[in-house]
Amino acid sequence: MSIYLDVTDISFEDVEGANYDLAIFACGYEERSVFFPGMQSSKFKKVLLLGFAESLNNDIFLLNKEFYRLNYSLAPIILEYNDLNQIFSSLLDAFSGVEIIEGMPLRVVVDYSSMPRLWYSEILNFVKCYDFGVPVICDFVYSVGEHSSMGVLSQLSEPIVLPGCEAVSAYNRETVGIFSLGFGEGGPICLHHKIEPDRTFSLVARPGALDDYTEKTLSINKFFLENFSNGTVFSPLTSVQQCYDTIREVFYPYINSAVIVIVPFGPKPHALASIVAAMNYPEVTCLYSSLGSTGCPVKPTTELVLSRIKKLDSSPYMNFS
Amino acid sequence: MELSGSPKTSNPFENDNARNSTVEDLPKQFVWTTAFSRLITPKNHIVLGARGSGKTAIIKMLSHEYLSKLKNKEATEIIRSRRFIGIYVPMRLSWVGGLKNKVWLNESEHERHFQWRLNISCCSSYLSTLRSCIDCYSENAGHRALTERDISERIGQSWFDKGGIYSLRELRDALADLEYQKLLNEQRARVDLSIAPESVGAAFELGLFEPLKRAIDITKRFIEFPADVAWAVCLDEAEYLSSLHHIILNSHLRTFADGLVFKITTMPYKHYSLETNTSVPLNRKDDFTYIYLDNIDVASRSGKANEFDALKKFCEDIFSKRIKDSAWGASGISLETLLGSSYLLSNEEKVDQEGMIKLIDKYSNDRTRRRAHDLLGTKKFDDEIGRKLKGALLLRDFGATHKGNSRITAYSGYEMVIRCSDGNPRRLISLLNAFYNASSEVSGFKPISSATQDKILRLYSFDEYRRMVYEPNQGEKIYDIISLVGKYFKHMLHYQKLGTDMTLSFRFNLEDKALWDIVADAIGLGLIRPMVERSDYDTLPVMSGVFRLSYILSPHFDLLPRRGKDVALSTILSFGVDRGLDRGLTFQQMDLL
Repeated sequence: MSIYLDVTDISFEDVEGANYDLAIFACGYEERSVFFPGMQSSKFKKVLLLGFAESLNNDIFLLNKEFYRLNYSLAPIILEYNDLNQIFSSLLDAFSGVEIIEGMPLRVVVDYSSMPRLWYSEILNFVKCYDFGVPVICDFVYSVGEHSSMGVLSQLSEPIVLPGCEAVSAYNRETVGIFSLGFGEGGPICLHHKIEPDRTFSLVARPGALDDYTEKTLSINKFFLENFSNGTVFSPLTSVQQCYDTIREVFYPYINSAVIVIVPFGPKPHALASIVAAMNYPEVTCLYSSLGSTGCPVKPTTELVLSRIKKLDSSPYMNFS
Repeated sequence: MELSGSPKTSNPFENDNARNSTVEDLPKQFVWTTAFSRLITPKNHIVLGARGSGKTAIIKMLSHEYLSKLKNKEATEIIRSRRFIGIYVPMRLSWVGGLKNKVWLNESEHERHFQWRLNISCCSSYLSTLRSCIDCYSENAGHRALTERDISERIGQSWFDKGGIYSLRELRDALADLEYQKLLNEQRARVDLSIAPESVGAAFELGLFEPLKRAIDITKRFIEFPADVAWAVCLDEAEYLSSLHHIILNSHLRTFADGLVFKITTMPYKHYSLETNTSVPLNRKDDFTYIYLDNIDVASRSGKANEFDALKKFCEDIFSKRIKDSAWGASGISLETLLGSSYLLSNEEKVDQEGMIKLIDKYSNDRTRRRAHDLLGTKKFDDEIGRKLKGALLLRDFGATHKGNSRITAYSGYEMVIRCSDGNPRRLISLLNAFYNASSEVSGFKPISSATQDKILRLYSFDEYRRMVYEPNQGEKIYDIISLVGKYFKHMLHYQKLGTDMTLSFRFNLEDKALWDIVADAIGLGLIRPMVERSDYDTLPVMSGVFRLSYILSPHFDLLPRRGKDVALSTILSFGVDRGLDRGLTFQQMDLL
């Protein structure tokens, strides 16, 4: 059985008042990490709260921690950002405690606003691989943020393929790189030097979180765009579905002739679309290297990007691919 | 020299990376070197080279697919004789990155996973080699189709235990399906203990390179090869692998079997281990040989005077190969006419003795001043003082007399560009590409002004310097040490009295493994160069030796691209402590000083 993850945009009405079997939240140093949980707009039978080991002494982290203690009577499970084993065992524990009712879909909500890409990739990978015996609906919530710092000079972590996002090597004669660009100039250039794609495309959020963010992204990444990129595509920050379709249009001509490497340095909804693409297409991989946390607060703009991912037993595009 | 047409759309220097070169382009642009000849032998080799040194070009050109396209007498003979068949296997970051994310596997599971995936990758690569062999050695189209059908059917049986596969394309698709099924099963096995990933693709579990060997055996039944044919598995970019992976590969370097030999590329110091899976480690002479590519100058020189000539020839060859098939092929254009001579470095650009003595009086130490005055008016002055000091004195004077925003053109000219490229093909082509794009001429390729060359070299130099900070693992520390060393050399050249030997290299004199690892990583990135002895230029120094900054960093630090005399690294670190430079690095070293 070849699982296909089907992504669609949803509205706040779809989330408001909804009953979720499991909610997965992150407690971090960003103010926005409590924005959606603080709305208390949905009902959660069970909550899994993950916290960053790197942020334990951060003031905002402590405030967020206090928020969860007061409102959810929860303390975060503290983990390193790259500790896949602990994320996995936390997910296994949490899902084991969820009551599965035959004939009823399992509903999960994930607020990935403050999660590292590795975490929500692993969550999605778990959902994809675990046989729940019932249909699964997974809603992803992203609280749009206002960044107080950008373009920090810092060293990248060792690049790894995100969990569940590996590509097959049978078509490895050529490489097509799709770089989702954000506010860090060095990451895409450094990884481009390492991946050395035969063809490179850039993905930029337009419109972005704030009116000037698209221009800022283009300006910060000017060198990359002028020297490495063969073409730039734009996709709104607010639609994971549209971004997924855009990415698919870019790589589809190269399926079966090249390995497609998506490098998600851009906003998280674009990263989510990239992860879903890599999980759905064997020729596509999603490679990431973290620039580390800036430690700077990210305020919520109060806008939410809401997406629904359903597990299908086969690709709806099967007849066309 | 001006040509009509639209040269901006046919920039011969646009592609600076062999990874992006097609099977049509690369053979035309390839410069056959001594190192390349050494590789076409039935021996195991580990090719070391900094980023951009041409590792991928060389290893790709070894493959049958590329070598058969090379219009060259030696290449034609090798292909005709069928004695050396290269299989190019890229081990890309996007592939290796998938090996490294499996934190839940134990060591033996890791090893099995690596072997399985490398087997698939080698077999997939072999299909391209097979395509090339069938095309080359079939008498006609009919024979070609029949050979492909027969070989594909038998390989299909062997790899997948099923019939009905009649083309290389079908074999490739079947490999892709199998690999995907394996990847899915591995993920599912994490949440469902009843799933056994090893149940998928059992033929690829047999042992590393076994499915490849089996495919080669089948091929030999249908295409004739001499008994002593060497099948060279060319593994590219092994620096991304881990020590465990290297140990696994080393074990195969020890056991020459069935005509398989290995050519492995990696960065300097990134052949992580000599250990094998047996109790006997690799022996450098018996089991394999290192080939160090960054020593184009050292490898070719027969005396110090010829060092630049070797570099020059290499750069000229690259330039002319690129130009040959472009719109300027018949224009008679040369690198020298495009760039002009370097005021600082060219022996043709003379400063008279009167001018020199003024500069010497102004900037040199007592001893040099006395000696210069003693020799003034003789030929010895030019040979022993003038030639040695001219570049440094002019550079010093440029800096000392420079006011406001006036333009400096120190970093320009043929000799300067060649030196700054450091014999690194990618660097040279990138610079030429930048020069080309900076030209405002849309209808021709005119000599590039000194100011433009200076601006581009400085910008390129700064980019190399600034961007190293992002490098994973040690980027920030490499940045710190290069920053400190560069500033020290600048201090010596621009603010201290000069002797005939400038301090432009350093000697590693500390018992500090962590610091050494930073230097070694910087060498891998092509930012620091070891001064390797000519007597053994394939041996890299470890925890000792003399090193210089890569010459591309000279424009950023206002240095002369010469090796000069060396200073102890501890002295440079003390300088950092005294001047408050790069404290992050020097404070860590305080207890060592």
